[in-house]
Amino acid sequence: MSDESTQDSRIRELWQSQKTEGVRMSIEQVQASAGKMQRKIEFRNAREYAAAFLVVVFFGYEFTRTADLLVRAGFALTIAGMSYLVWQLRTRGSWRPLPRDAGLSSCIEFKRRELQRQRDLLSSVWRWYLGPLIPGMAVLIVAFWRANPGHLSHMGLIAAIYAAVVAGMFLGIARLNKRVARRLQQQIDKLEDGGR
Amino acid sequence: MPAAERSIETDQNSRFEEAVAAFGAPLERLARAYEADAETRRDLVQEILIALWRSLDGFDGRCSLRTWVYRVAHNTAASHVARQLRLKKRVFVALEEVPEPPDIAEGEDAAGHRDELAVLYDLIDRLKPLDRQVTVAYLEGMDAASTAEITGLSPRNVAVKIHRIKQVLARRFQSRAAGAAGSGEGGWDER
Repeated sequence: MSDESTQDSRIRELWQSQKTEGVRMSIEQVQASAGKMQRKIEFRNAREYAAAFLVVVFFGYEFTRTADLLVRAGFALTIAGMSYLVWQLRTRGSWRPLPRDAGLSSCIEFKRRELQRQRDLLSSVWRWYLGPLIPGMAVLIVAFWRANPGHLSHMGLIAAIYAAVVAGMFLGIARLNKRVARRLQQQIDKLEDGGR
Repeated sequence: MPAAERSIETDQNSRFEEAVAAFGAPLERLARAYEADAETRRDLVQEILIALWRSLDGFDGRCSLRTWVYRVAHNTAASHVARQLRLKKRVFVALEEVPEPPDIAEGEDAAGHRDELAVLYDLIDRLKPLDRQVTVAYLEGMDAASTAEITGLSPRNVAVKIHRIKQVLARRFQSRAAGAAGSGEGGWDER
């Protein structure tokens, strides 16, 4: 046996003979912990949706208080958009435990799937995050402008500034997400090159 | 609970016990390769065990139990590292980029001053997840084909990485193992 082979064996022996604590979890403890972890995930997700729920409650309340049909339509569209957004968050982006079929995926495949999921989430932000909020906002801006006929030019300017700020914010969010999505794509490409 | 469901759960439980009996210690070492903090590491081991138990009701023998266990463990641990990365910014390097230990370059018996395991962990802790996975597999004495199956790398790529690991380790431990340093190619058992 060469010196190098002896050293390799020695290093592996060093690694394998290190002291471990010993896995001391019974099946019952694992099951209980799995349940606890699931509840923790549900709580964490619920907390993320709580803010959206408050917005929906607020717009729902305002919806019942106004008689103006256009304003009502604006509130209804905003509630619908927000609900769609929350549903998308739940199906696409919520925190989740490791999938049950994780043992079928190699490390590279698992990593690639995870990166692709995040990339798709970010690159389609117009479709599921920003887009659904636009109709409600647009209708509310028009309703706001129409509800103040005596100060048309003044209110029109305020509505235009508000619309421009919101549009700027949306474009900024979209650009930021696109940039991160591009970075994720680079990581995916690198992963694919490295796997060969 | 219906009999069929009970039978699936029994299979799941017995496979889990089998997996823990066979790979309990390697799983702890694997967790150590991903998490240095003892308390957080206990949580990670627990997370791996839960993920393993949950996954085992879908185990259908398409790969060996060992491959399944390591895949679940590495995937769980890599997700753990990704979460930690979001909390505290860390930069990992590829095997090709591991810096030379300065004290060794100065001819000092570096490992003599520190625990050898600490030297090993210091190296592992710097590595990107994929290189870390290959390194752990190598240290566990796994052959290149099994490592390729677990990681998803091509066997050729695994062999290249293992060669690189050997070089890096030789440099790190050269002052301890007289004559082992710098020999490059050699008799490492590729299996």
